Order: sequence, then structure tokens, then C-alpha cells
Amino acid sequence: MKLPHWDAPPEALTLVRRLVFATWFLRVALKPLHQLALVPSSLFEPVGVMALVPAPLEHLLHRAAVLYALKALTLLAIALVIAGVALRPSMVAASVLMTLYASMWRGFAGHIDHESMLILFAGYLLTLFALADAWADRHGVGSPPGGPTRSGRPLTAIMIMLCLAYTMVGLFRTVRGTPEVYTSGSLTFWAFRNAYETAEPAWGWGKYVLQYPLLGRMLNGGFPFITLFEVTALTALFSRWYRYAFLAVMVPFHIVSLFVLDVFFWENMVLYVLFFELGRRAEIGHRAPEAPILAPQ
Amino acid sequence: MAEPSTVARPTWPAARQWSFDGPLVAALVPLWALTVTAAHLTSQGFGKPRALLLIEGLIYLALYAGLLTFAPVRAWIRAIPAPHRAVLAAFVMLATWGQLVVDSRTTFPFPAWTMYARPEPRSLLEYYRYRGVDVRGHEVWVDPAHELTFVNSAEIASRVKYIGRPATAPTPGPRRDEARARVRDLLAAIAAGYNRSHPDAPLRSLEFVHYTMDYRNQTQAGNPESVVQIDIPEGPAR
Repeated sequence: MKLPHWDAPPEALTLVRRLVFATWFLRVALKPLHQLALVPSSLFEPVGVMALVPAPLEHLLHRAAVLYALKALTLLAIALVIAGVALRPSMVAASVLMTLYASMWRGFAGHIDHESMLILFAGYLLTLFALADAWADRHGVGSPPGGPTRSGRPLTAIMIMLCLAYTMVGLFRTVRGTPEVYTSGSLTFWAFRNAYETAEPAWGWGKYVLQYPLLGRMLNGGFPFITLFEVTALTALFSRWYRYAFLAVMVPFHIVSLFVLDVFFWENMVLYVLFFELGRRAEIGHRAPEAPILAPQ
Repeated sequence: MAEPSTVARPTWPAARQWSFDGPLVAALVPLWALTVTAAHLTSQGFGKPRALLLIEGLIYLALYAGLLTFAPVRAWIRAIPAPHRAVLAAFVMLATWGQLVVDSRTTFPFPAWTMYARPEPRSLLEYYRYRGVDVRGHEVWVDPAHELTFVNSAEIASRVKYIGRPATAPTPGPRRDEARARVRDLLAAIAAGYNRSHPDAPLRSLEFVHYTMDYRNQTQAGNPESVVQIDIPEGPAR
């Protein structure tokens, strides 16, 4: 038994890298960050390292012209990654700029939305593994013959982090919420609340959880089941059948969440591509030389 | 997309699929201790450790040690070069640190994964709406998610909730005054956004209205309360 992507070919890495950074591109392109210039500083609460930025610099960062420039630079860096131009520096620049971009908009948000976190992790891991490849090449360090391919290492690492994040959700709920979170009707309250807290929710079906008790019962009944899959998500590393079962449960769950809870983790679903093997190296036992990560695509 | 064949797969006898690897777990323990210590210092400073932090920390130690007892995981970890191992170890520990601190603003981009975990058996639902009057004297219900589209509607709603609750407190005081000042700032930002997208009929006033609903029987629990209103002077959009 081997972990997924042990034998992944360079094409698999290229595919995932383009998917991840294309998702980043969409995130940035569709987000009019210049509107942050309308938000007064009393409503802005810096996140992460932005809390260390001195106030005058923070004020400068909130000017519309600076925000437009940040957006343009971020899109350029991500586009270079997608095109495979100066890959390693472009990936580093894209990661730094994307972190700044994500920190800026979240300064106004009341809570840290998790919907785009895992795709951010995926980009970081692709970048850091590319840097680690360079370091390993310089120092003559590599995998033993028959070991995980250079292309497969970051893919397995992303899958580990994806599954670990689900496990963290499930463990936190188990430790902090069991049994009350399942017995108090909290989920139906959240569905109802989410439908009213926003003036025009995308779907807002949460309004019907009391009107149609079957809907509420389905939500409450499915909640421990979903938690079970979250807690055991790391099993996806070992079992192909579990991976299929996980997708069969989680894809409908995320879609139902869109309608009933008005939250949609579409970026996570992009990463579900990693639940499938994306090809394998040419001939095991007679390893074809791997294309270097920075080869023209 | 194809599942890999079984050709040249490393295989382990069933009994050896799971086996405790002392040296690997010994390497894990200092990293885990460093992570838990960092989480404690970030969340509590030099105060007394929280029992929950320690319990959850131990659960993660058991989880990671358990994974390392599984032969295919060990084989992968041993087979990747040292720099890659270091990157993954750092990433897992940072994610664990964020999870144990439970303060996603501080630990961003390593948030705590806490979605829908804490019981909330509430009977009263509170929400807010924005009633404007435009230059023609028409009443307009403004959705901030349409005017400030760089955040999603849930991110705005959570920001509003944090300032809305103290702003609607029944007893006056400095905390309520401060929250109401923030509501005024929020109204000004929403109005600026609205007036940009509606230059032909800009707002002249905007009001923050507080609603309460009895969750169980879905009836309004009181009359809508106007909390703060701002007047918007004529002039070019910001």
C-alpha cells in the first residue's frame, strides 16, 4: 500500500498547480478590494501579521490607488504561475501578495471565513515544496529509487492538509460540543439565523427548517454522520473506497450547505481532484527521468 | 484518471502495517511540545494553562503518533527529502497551533477549524436591516452585501453582529456609545457604496434597524427598533 500520488507524473503537478492558482486568480479578480477604501478604520481589525503594520502604513494600504495596484500585481504574479513563467519566483510573489490580499479583506470581515483557506494552503505547499526541490537539488538530496516522485510529494502533502483540516473540524466539535451540539437543535437555529442575518441570502432555505420539520430532522440527523466523516477524514490517505465514500457524503453536504446554511466551500471541492490518482510515472522499476518542476510546460 | 496498479508497490505483512516507531515518535514529541507551548503563550501569555488546550493538544499528539505507526505513512515520510519533511512538519505544527489557540484573527493564515461546533440553543434571533431615503424621498431597503462586495454577506453579517449587540444594549454607557459610533461609520460606508452605484438617486439618510424574532414560533418578538440614523450631505460620491 502506498499513499496517493506516490507515482504522480509531472503532468499531474502541472494540472493541480494550474487549478489552485486559477482558483486564486478568480478569488482576486472577482473581489473589488478597492471598496475597502470606503471602510473607516474604526471598522477595520487587522488579522495575522497585518496587526504589526504601523498605522501610517496601514492607512496608506487602504487608499483605493494602492488597493488597485495590489490587485493588479497579485493577478500578474498568479497569471505568471499559471503560464509557467519564472515559476519559482512567481509562486513566491503570488503567495506573499495573496496573503496580503486575503489579510486586507478579512480585516473588515467579522469572522475568518474558512471557505478559501485550504486552497490558500495548497498554494503555499506547492510553493514551499518547489523551494524545497531547489534546495534538495543544490545539496544533492533526493528520494530513494522508487520513492515518491518529485511531482507527487506536494500533491500528497496537500491531501494530508486537506484531510487534517476536516479532522480538526470534527475533533473540535466532538470535544467542545458533544452531545449538546446535536441535541440542542443548534444546527436548525444556525440555518434559520443564516437565512435572516443577511438581507438577501443566496438561497435562504434555512427559513423553512421549522415550517417543514422533515428538513430540520434531516439536518439534525445528518449532523453526527457528517462529523464522523470529518473526524475520520485522514483515512482517505489509506483507502480508495473511503475516498469514494467521503466524496459521496461531502459533495452533497457542501451543496446542501449552500442552500440551507448559505455557505459554500467550492474551493475545497476544487481540491477533491486530489482524491483521484492523476496518472503515474511512465514505468515503475525503470524510472523515466522526471521532468524538473521548472521545465517549460 | 486511474488508480495506480499494484506493480512495484511496497508491501508490508498485515501484522507490520501498524507498528510503533520509537525514533519517529521521539522526533515528534519535541515538535508537539513546542506547538502546545506556543499555543499557550499566544492565547494565555504567562497565565495558567487551559485544560482544554492541553486535552486537545494530547488528542493531536495521539493522532499524529497514530498516523506514524502506520507503515505506508512512515514509508512516505522517510522517502521524501529532508527539506520537504521540514516543510510539512512546520505546516502541520502551524495548523495545530492555530487550532489550539482558537483566535483565527491572531493566527491567520492558520485559523482554528471550529465551524458549527459550539451549541447555541437560543430562542431569540436578532438581525439588522438598513432603511434609506433617497434624494427623491423614496424609501429604499439597502443590502450592504450589494454595496460592499469585497466581502461576502456572512462576513458583513458577523461584523455587524459584533457592533450591533452592544449598540442595542438597553442601558446607556460608554460601550454602547462606542458601538453606536461604529454603526454610524458603517452606515456612512454603506451609503458611500450605495451612492456610487446609484448616482441618479443617492441616499439622503440611512437608518440601522434592529429586529428580534422568536425562533420557536417565528413571530417578531418586539417592534423593529431604529438604533442609529445618519443624514448624508449632498456631494460627490467618495
